[in-house]
Order: sequence, then C-alpha cells, then structure tokens
Amino acid sequence: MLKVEHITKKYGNKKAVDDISFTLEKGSAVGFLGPNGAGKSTTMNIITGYIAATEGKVSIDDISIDDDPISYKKKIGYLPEIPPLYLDMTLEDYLRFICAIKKIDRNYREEIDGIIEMVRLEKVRGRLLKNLSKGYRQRAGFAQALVGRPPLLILDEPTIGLDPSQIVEIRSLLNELKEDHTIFLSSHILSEVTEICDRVILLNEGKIIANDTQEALTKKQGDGNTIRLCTAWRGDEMVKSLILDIPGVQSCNMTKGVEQGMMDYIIESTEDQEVRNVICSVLIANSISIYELSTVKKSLEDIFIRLTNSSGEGTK
Amino acid sequence: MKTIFKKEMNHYFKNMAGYIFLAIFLVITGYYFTVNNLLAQSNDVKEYFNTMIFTLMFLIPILTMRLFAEERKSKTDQVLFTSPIKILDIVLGKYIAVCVVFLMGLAVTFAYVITIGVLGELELFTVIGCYVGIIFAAGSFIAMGLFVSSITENQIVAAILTYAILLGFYVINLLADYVNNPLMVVILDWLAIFRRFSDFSMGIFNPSTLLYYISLSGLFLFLTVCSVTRKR
Repeated sequence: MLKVEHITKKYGNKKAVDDISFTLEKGSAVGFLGPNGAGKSTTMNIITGYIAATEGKVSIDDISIDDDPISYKKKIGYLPEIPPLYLDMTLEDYLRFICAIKKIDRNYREEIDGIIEMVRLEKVRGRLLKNLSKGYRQRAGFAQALVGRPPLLILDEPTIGLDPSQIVEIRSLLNELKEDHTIFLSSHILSEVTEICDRVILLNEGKIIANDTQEALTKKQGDGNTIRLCTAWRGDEMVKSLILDIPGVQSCNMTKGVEQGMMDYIIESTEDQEVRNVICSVLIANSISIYELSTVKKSLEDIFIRLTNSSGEGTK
Repeated sequence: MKTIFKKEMNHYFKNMAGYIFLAIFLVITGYYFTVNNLLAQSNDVKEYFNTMIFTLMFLIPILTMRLFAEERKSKTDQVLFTSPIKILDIVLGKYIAVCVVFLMGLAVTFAYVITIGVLGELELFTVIGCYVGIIFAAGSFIAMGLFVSSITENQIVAAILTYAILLGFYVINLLADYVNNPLMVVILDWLAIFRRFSDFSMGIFNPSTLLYYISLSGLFLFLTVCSVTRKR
C-alpha cells in the first residue's frame, strides 16, 4: 500500500533521514521505533506530505505524492506528536472544519457522530478545545485523523500524555481500527507496539537498522537461550556447579529467589542445544527439588537497546 | 479556499483581533472625519483618505501577523498541509478573509461620506477614486503582511517586519522628492506605493496604477506560496 523509496532529508549538511526504504502492506500494523532524534517524526512528516524529502519517492497505491498530492493525501489520516487543534473551536466545529478540508463525500453530521462515538468524545463535543484536558485533546487529534476514514493511519506517539485507563482505551481502539485500516505507529512504549503491531521498523540516526516481525527479530538477535530456574535455598553452590557441567550451558548466575527460601538461577545456553530436560534429570538425580523452570523470552526492549547500541557503536 | 476563508473569519470574530482592528480603524478614521470634515466644515475627502492609508500602514500588520506564524507555532499547519487542499487555496483563503475584514471597516466609512453628501456637496468621482484606490492599496499591504507572516513563526516579529516594510515604502515615497538621478527617480517612483494612491485621491482613474497594485498583490501572494512550499 505505502511505498517509501530511498528517502533522504537533509537539514543543512545533517541528514535527519538517510536513504530509507520500506513498504507497508494493506491491512498491516507496523511499529516505528527509534531513540529520540532518530528521524521518526521527520519520516512520518515526509510520508504525510507535511515536509518534502530532499531525495526519494513516496507513494500510496502507486499514487506518488509529487505527481498527485491531493489524491495521495486523501488516503492518509495523520495524528502528529502534538495534536494540531484550533483551540478556539469547539470539538464539533473543529471536526466539521476537518471534514471540509478533507472534502469528504459523506454527510458531515453522520461522519462526525460516528467518529465522536468511536473515540468516545460525546461528553465534550460542544466544548471549546482549549478547555479540554490533555487526554481529551489527544483523542480529539485522533478523531481528526479518522475523518474521512482514510485507509492509512499514521500515528506519532498516539498515547503520549494519557493516563493508564485512557492508554488502554486507545489501544483497544487501535486494535479495532486494525481490522479496516493500515496502521503506521510510532511509540516509545514498546509494549504498545508489541500489542498492536505485526511488524517493527527500527530507526537509528536516520537509518533503518531492523525491519521485521518481533519474533524474527528475537530469533535474529538471540545468540543463545535464557532459562530461569528456581530451587529451594541450599546455602552452597552445588546446583550452580551441576548446571555448569551440563554440555551446552554457557553461564549460570545465582541470585536470591523472589520467594522466600528460594534460589533463582539465570542460565544461558547455546542456541542449538536444548538443556532444560538435562537440567531436570541432573537435579532430580541429585535430589534437588525444582520449583520453576522457564524460558526467558527476549523482549522488544532488549532488542531495541541491543540494536540501537550496536548501530551507534558501528557508526562511531 | 472557502473552508479556509470561513475558518479565518471565525477566528477574527471569535477572538478579539477582528474587533480590535475594526475599533481602532473606526476610532481613528472617525476622529479625522470629525476634525477635518465636520468641525472644519470641509467637503474635501482627499485628505481624509490620505490619512486613512497612513493609518492602514499601522493597522494591517495587526490583521496579518498571525495568519501563518500562529499556525506554524501551534503546529496546526500540520492539518492544513497534510490535507487534500492546495497551498494556493490556503493562501487565497487567508488573504480574502483579511481583505473582507478590512472591507467591513471601510464599509462603515460610507456613513461619513454620505454625511458629507447630505450636509454639503460631494465630489463623487473623487470619492469613487479614493475608495477604489484604498481597496487596491490595502490589498497589496495585506499581501505583504501575509508574506511576512509566512516567513516567521513569531507573530510580533511578523507585525514589526510588516510595519517596517510599509514604513520603508513610505520613506521611499518621501525620498523621491529629493533625488535627481534619473535612474534613481525611476526606481523610487516604481517603489512609491503611497504616492500612486494620490492619482485616485485626485479623482484620476489610472488603470496603470490599478495594475500596479494588483501586480504587487500578485507578487507577494506568489512569494507567500513559494515561502510556504519552500518551508515544507
């Protein structure tokens, strides 16, 4: 659906975005991650037509932003980092204005009623935007992005500034919207990306350093398995030495257990070797009770930190 | 364009900017009418319109300063430039809105002219010339203000810069009398926006002067479109 080809954006001599290319398939939900200043908002602003790229091409369904910007922009709903609200308007007037500039074909009243209900803004529809709380303003920004029901939604940190219950509401709304829209979402809350997105694009210093599903990234990044073991407190290092003798185990770190009277072990093993069954056998043979044995999954946070750090080091 | 025009008109009259402009404009023009025409028992409208154009030099920046500067500062320009609407339509919508606010103020001054007509003899062609002249001259001032607003995100800077540019043109107007170099005379004459208005105030309907103001407005509107496009 969206095709971004070799986009570069220069500010003076500095490249904010450096030759990036990716595509979004119809109906997909893609997370756009990166540390502050990585170029995420710049990329989103280029895709939405707010700023022009120095080089490169962006198109939606083969309509290029340079050739036919009006048709191109009709396909996008954009929620920037700061919701672009005219504070002297009421919510209803604001959405009517958005309907007019987006030149939607549907009856404005029906459209506004539908969106207000969807984003749960019924209580404040007649209020001036300047009198709304941050959470409501964010939702009002969300509402304007949905006007005209554009097939592609570009959301720059949609849950920033919201309280936990509002975050849950917006996430559930995003999950509903996933059914009918393609979503391109930037967020610093990685659990949000994990929950909503099928794929992740990771940007650092203006370059794409990863573009894959979370599972594939975990697999690529995993140079070993991490296992957590919980046994009864023993007061010696016998368990640790037994584990370290098992072929394939690379390291074993012993810590005081989360539960009282327990001992936790974080075991790293080589990727190609399944050691959990051997650990069980060895410990049972030595009459050591096992209270818990589980694989520790690498989180998106781990992948994010690892990739951004290694990419940063590579460029130094 | 219509949508942007309506938004701007709403803004002027939901906030104080439109009312402030109209109030100051009408107080100043009303004062000059009272002193120069009513109290002096004069039917001469030329002087009245000459002071009006001088007043506009100070007042138009109040109307134009926020047009793009405020949008950029509050990031609401993100809505405009990511919507399926042409930049030219945005620029024209804003321009026409300011022109209409100015015309609203100007319309009230008909009452003064009618008063002169009722109490004395009215020089009809001079009045028509003055109105046509002031409308087109103000149109070019507004286009300049719109352009300046598009190059900064600070409203105060936009207002001061617009005022400085208009004041610069006014000074050029005065300098033209003291220059002898033929080339400089031609250049200064071309830049003498205020002097050209005197054709109209003398009741001379000069199409070239009209074309001059239209060209000037067109030039600054074009520069505004370029400035907004370049900023993208």
